[in-house]
Amino acid sequence: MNKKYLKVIILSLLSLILLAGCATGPRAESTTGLAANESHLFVSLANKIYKVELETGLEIWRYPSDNSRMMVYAPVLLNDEYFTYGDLYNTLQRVNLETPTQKVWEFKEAKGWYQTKVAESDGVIVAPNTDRNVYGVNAKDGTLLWTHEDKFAFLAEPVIVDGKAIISSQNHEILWLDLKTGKPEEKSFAMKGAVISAPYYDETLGYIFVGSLGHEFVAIDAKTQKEVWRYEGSILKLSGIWAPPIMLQGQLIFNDDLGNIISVDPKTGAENWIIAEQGKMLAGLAAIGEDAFIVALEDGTIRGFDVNRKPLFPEFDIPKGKIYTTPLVTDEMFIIAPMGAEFLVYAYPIEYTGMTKWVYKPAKK
Amino acid sequence: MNIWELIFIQPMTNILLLITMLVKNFGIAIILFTLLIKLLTMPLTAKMVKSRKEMAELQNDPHYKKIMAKYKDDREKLAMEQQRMYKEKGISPFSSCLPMFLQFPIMIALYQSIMRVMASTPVELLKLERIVYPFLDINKIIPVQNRFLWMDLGQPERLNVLGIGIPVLAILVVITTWLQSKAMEGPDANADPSAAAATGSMNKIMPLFMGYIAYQFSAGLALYFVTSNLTTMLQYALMGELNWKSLIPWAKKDEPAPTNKVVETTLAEEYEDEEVDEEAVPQSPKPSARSAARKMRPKKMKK
Repeated sequence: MNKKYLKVIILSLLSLILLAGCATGPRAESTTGLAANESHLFVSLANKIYKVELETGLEIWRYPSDNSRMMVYAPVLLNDEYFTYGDLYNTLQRVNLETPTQKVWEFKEAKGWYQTKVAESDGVIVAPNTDRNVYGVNAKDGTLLWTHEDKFAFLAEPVIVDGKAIISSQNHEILWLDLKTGKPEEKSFAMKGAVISAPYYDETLGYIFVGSLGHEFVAIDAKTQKEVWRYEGSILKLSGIWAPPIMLQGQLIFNDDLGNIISVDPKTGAENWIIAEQGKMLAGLAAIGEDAFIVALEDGTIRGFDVNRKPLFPEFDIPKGKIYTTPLVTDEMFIIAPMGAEFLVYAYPIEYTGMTKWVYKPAKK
Repeated sequence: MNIWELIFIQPMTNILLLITMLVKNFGIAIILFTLLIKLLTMPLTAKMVKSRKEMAELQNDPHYKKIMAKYKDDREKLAMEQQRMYKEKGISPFSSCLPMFLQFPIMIALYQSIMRVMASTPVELLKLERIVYPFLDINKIIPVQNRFLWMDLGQPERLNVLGIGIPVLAILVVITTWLQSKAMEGPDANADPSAAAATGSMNKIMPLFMGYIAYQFSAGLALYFVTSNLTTMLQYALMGELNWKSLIPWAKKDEPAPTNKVVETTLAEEYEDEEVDEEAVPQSPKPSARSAARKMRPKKMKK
């Protein structure tokens, strides 16, 4: 072979190896993940997880503290000792909460991204992945217990009820997987569109509530997997549902992506009221106390209503902010994590007065 | 939605989704869509090739070379003379670039449409949902099945062989980009050593750069690169402009035309005091690049 060509081929191979080592990481347009325990807020964004004090908004630590490879948007799963999360480098890991340098285990068998929060029950972590698999992982040591393969990427957080992992599937269905074996129930629940939203379980009724991109919202009996009722709109045709509902004062309240907010009777699906077309909306509603909720629109507008549709406070907006993450509510404040705004996190007192409680922006280190 | 999205991204994304719906396979849809776009931009490519050919012929025109040699130290005058010659021969130097520039937005939009359809996060899915035309049933489209052969088109591609992930598509991108750039070289591409050196460097760097992109980004994009490269080569072959000999190292190549530098020196000496005879500019038929080169060669040899 001509030396010149051999040189080019060798050069190409060397460059490929070099470039593989310098890989800058996966790219996806995603959004901030929020999670909190009693005292701290955990913010997942890009290459760090930030632990912030809820009372003051001061940063306690950031993980990883060095420049280790990481890309995370999914909210972390918290318990007393650990936080668990999956990232866009296809790794699921459990880390010590107080000393985040101590990694408890890593699970690296997935081939896709972890886009959503994982769920845990009875020593099993259920981790949906974009490689079309749901992984059942041993919570103690991070070993694989089971895998369930589907046709499309899994994007929604599972709900675990009575030894079953209930999972939204983009393959137009809701799946029931056995928590110990990963074996699916013989019949899944068919939906009219892809299901992106996480299911919501109401313990009192024993129902699963979930909406899809197929302009529908349904109540399913969690044990029998049978439809209890279906809502597709009344005066207004329902648009795509991207977020789970909330339950307030015996009302089931949910929103679609056009910002229609609908309250129905959770037992029958009968419509109580509608607040029509608030604006484009991907984030879900966030319950404040027992009788009110926050609406966070994509354009950064924040509104509050009580269960009788009465506004809680004059609407306000976060300049330049795009909101895709459902606000997080604690006993004292509601927390918004917009994209593209001046700060990463805005905390407002529950009794909103027009002022922030604190704002947080990671300092450059 | 901005104008760019409205004019380019939205229609192209919808066509891509429509093809996906019809063939029920996103991989095949990317291939067909790339072919379709290449077919639609074929007149632009043909115009670009034609202009490039005319420019190459002009550069081998003896009279043009005389001018180049004579005014090599007077850039202003040289530019004026060049303009005059372009005008006389009816050549627009920008007409070889213009179709290329017109193709750029189309290619960028094609790339963006493919990326848009391969939405893999809720936000990306939402943005895709919002640009789908109402007559397309969104529920039959979303999500798009990303699996094609062994690939997940939404993820960087690796073929697992004995536990080692081989980036087959990235390697194919490197090879096809290199083949494309080599095959599209004109027969007298090496006429000017400095230009040849620059082209040579580009021919090495570009395939590696494209391969890097294919290695890092989703397989769908790499599939588009490979299809686009092969289609471009096919287009050039159909127009008779593919230089197959560049691809085969051991093939006997055409004797290269004398380098401009030598020609310049020779002519500069030869026509040192001679005024450029404007009447002598050949009008028709235009000499081909090769015949022009042949005309020049004996003079140089004699010296």
